[in-house]
Amino acid sequence: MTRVRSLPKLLLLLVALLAAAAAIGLACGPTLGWNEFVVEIRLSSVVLAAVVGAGLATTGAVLQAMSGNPLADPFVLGASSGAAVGVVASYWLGIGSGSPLVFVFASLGAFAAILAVLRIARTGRRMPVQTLLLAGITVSTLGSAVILLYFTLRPYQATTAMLFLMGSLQESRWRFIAMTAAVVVPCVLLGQVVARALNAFAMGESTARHLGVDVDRMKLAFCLLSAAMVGAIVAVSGLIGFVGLIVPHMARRLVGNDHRRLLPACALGGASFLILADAVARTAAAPQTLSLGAITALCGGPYFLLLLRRRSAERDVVAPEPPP
Amino acid sequence: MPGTRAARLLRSAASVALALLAAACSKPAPPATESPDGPHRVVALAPSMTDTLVALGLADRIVGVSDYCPDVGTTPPPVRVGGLNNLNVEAVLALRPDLVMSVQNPGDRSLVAFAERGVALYTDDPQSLAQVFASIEAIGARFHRGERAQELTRTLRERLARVEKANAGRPRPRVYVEVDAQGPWTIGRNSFVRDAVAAAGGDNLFDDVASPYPTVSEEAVATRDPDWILLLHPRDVAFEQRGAFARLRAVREDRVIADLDRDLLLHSSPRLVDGVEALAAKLHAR
Repeated sequence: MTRVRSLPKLLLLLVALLAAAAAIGLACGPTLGWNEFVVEIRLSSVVLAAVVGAGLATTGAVLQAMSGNPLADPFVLGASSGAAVGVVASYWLGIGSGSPLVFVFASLGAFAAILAVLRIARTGRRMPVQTLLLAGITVSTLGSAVILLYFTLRPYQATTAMLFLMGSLQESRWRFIAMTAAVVVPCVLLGQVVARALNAFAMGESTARHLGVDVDRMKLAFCLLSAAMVGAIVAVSGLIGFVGLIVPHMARRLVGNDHRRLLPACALGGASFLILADAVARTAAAPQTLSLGAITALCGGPYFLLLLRRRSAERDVVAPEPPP
Repeated sequence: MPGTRAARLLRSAASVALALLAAACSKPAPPATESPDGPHRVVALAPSMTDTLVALGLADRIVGVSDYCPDVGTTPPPVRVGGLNNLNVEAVLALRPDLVMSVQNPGDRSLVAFAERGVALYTDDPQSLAQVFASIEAIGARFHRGERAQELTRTLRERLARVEKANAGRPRPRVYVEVDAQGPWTIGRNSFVRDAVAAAGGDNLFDDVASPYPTVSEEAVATRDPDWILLLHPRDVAFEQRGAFARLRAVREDRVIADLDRDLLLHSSPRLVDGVEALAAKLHAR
């Protein structure tokens, strides 16, 4: 695949892609004609999809570079699950779904989950793929356990919480969309500031250290950045998986490994991808809506398995140990 | 030798487990035998079942109810035995019931646990108004109170007929029923809630959807422009903040019903008719 080298040309291309996706997103819906509500309702979905998609893809790229692991993403690393626990905890404490405190809880949950996974996954100076994945799965499972407990102990709120966690961008409260954007957009831009550090990390932590990067502080910054984004995203849209995994991979094939180009590509590509996925969720079974989380997982799951398989084929650390 | 010690430990653990198992098996828990006038120790695991029993004058037969069930007014009150996903099977069995009633599938794990211990089961899950009446009559028959049940359904049908007569000639408003704001979650063609709305003189906005409880897009709701919005969840701040949705004609013209007891409409019991009457009164108040 030919790689686009010049940044302006790349941005132009991706903005065109985003514009096309947005046009499709605005054109698709259960209504054939137009009325006074169609534009506003679709626009809220498209704007939120753009913000959430950009945030998830950026988080994925950051986590992948930081962990030196191409299979990392907010879902795989348990961050989304941690954020979901945060949201459920805020419900448990009686905090209404319109409160900014939900964002804070979700971000705290995501941060705790990422830290826990990175701690568990580290063996010596390395962070092998399989321990990272296992740690992520374990933390996710713990999160699910807390959520199941909530469902059992608060049966009257269970359906609401379940519908929420299934993942949806049907949020017509502009105040809420603005709150999410106010967290995600600055974080995506901040990604550009740390792009060089991410490049160093992508070559391995020790290389980054040799290049003069303050590895520990930078890692903390990456974790905070990711947790803030994942928290704001999960608080408004529930669990939408695999965006942070597929988009960075596709972007990498398009623009290469330089994060100064990769991050904008992820942000714009993620926004486009999620707008299109949401258009499918809203339109395919209209007037019923499908679970957006299910649609992204159906796209991303097989892709993830393919990546995992290819890596095993390359005799990476995933390869099973020979019998004694 | 550590090996022998471990083996001995293992053996004794196994024998303890076996002894426990034998004790559990040898202690027979014969189900209470049913008297000729029907079950006397009933555990009702659904509010609709409890409501129906109360309506049939069988409240004193209830020894256990689910966490969601209403109070039945007997002393001592029936034991609460948990809900759908946290049913305390042990607590139910400890009540020595001669009948367990549920709206769940009889193949459900917890219900199988009762069946395997010889406890009689009654299950049905009405999905239409006609099935609700059939269920009331079937429960009546199960308790040898067939006539009383038929009298009850006759009265209920008469009440529905009165509502229908009062509504005759009036335009049928299109009603959007929101079970939960999250989703948003509404009702489709194949639910008894839809029948209740129809009986109250309204048309369900999503009768074209077969699924009984679908989630739909807000855009579809807005485009269909309902005459009334019936909220079966609290109308809170979040509702007012819902952008375009909060500017729908029904909202602007204050045709939002949010103060109806949701249990009246969401439980397939005789009280569903109370819900129909209450809704009809609201829909045709002006």
